[in-house]
Amino acid sequence: MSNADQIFVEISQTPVSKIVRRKPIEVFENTCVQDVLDALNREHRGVALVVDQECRLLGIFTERDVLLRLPLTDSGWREAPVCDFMTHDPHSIRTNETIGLALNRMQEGAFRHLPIVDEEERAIGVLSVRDILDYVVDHFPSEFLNLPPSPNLETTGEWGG
Amino acid sequence: MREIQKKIRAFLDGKPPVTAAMSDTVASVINKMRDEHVGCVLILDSEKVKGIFTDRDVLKFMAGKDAAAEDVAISSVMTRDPECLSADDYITYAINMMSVGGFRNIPIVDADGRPQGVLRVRKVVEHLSELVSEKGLGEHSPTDGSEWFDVGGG
Repeated sequence: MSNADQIFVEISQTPVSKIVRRKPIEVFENTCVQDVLDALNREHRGVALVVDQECRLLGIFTERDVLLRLPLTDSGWREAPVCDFMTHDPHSIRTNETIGLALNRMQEGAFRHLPIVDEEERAIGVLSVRDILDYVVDHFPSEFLNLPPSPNLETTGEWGG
Repeated sequence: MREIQKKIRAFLDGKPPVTAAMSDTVASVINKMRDEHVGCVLILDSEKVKGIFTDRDVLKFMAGKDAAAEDVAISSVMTRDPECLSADDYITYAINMMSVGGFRNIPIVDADGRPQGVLRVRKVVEHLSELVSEKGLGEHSPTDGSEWFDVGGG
């Protein structure tokens, strides 16, 4: 097995809990949509996990839901509870499941985010595509970093665009 | 790693990217995103890419309360002069750009700056997922060949 293959094996078998870097934004079902958008905007995030009082995962609300579900011509959604617009019972992944499995689920479901849960379905975090890309780039420095320099590239701190 | 280093050209589906004009309203662009099932629109001026507007920009706009979508020109809220790549650049370069820059969509343009497509992070996920499956490293479920609803992912 080549060195690159060995690195790929290691990446694929890494538990997802090892690569998530940011705490998730968590809200309750009755949090109003405006407050959720304000939190997402403030933290430069595109996903909020909707949880109950025991932190069990109930739903997910992402910028995709903003695009597809919020009416443009009626602002009543601002004060409506986020549960009216979230995806209920989303696909998720366990803390000890692997990046390889996560990639498979993301690819099949066209997801960019996967909530991470424990055995009792309590939300522990959220895995984003960016977490995986960052991890892959870190592990293949010669393939990714030995590239033509781009003077316009700078870290924006925002995930979007 | 030869398998991971494919040219971006191999990831383009040949369909023209969804575009809009600088003077189009935010409402019309959002409606276009909904109708075309995409998470990003390239904004053109004289047929060249001048801006990009994505579902993240939709979130930022909707969070604000100042203006109605039908009253605002897309040119005032889009991301100007986005980082673009050529179809002959390598996917690894694009992945690095997505990681460092925080991008999920990269416009692919010709030498004159005219759009040829958009490299979406979904395609990168597909590529990495296939590499994992080829090596028997992931849990692989057969796909049913159904079309995705492409808004760049959840």
